[in-house]
Amino acid sequence: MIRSAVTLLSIAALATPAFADHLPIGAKPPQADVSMDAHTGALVTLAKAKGKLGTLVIFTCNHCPWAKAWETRIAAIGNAAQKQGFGVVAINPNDAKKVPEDNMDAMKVRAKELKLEFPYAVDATSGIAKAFGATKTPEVFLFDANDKLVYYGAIDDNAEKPAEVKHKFLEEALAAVAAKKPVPTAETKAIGCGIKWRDA
Amino acid sequence: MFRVVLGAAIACACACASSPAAVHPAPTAPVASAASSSPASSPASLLTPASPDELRKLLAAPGAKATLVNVWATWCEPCVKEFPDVLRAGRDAKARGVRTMFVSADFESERSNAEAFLAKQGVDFTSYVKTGDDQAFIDALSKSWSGSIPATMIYDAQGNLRFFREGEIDYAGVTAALDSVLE
Repeated sequence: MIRSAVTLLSIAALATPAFADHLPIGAKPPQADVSMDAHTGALVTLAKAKGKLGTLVIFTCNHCPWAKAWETRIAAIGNAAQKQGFGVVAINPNDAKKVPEDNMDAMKVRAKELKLEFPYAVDATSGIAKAFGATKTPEVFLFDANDKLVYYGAIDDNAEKPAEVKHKFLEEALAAVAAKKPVPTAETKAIGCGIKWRDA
Repeated sequence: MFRVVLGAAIACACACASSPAAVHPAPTAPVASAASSSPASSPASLLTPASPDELRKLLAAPGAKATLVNVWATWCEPCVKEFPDVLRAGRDAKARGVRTMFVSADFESERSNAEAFLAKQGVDFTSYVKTGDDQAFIDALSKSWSGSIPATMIYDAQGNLRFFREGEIDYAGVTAALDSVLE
């Protein structure tokens, strides 16, 4: 009887979703006024970062092999998007106590190596990632000029082999938004590292 | 099937790997031969490439009341941490008709590491490594899955998804979930 009770409790615990659904297409950026420390030393908010064409938010980190596989593409696409008129913010949602490689000093080094021209910021409570329903790194959310989410998902369809990419999902979405056209593929999925959440 | 033998430098580039030494191939220690009495113990069959379609067929293949699937990678610290628990929970449930399938999401360049890890863990049955498109792979296992790993799924005898967990799990969690599916 005791075992049954324990089992039932365990199942109840398991039934609680371990993740939130991601922000739906069309939604506005949540927590847009929350200040984050950026690698530049400045404070950044998603609202302030917004560009005339829209806002690109990339949840990423230093340590994850999937984030590393994509990082030069993230830098190139982000730098180009910012020049074009998008606001671009990379956000590290991981608890650096759990993953020391994701601390701010290491982020500054990585941002310099990658020649990031956009802020690489810390989600100090992991609360922004939670509000977005982000689950992993890297994960991308693109908002248009009206603050509507128009693309969610992966950078492209091949993390390991850039030369074999068939669909550049994010670049296609950015080009569509810049041209005021519908995004061809609004949601995609890719493997990534589960976010190392800060303990509540 | 071709196998990529990688340079050791690539192997444990991830600082998060809890025990980098544990996933290095050990050429002088034929760990895989420890279970050589089983026909499924050769390194090649420890890690069989599987496309999304092949995975779907395997999930619905006859012979099991439930199939426990765990998606992992050598560089994923929580995956490596929970691996022994999932393996033990699957083994303990084998007599109840549970089939266990580990599916590695490792890059092609890291497959020999993954094989060495499986051998070190004492896995003596066929496990799989994803091939092909990420999205098709993710959706083949669960439409609700974002692609974050670790992830654990349980399917019924017909291959229908009955339990899904994105994030870490332990022995008690897997066992409770199997109990609920096998009820």
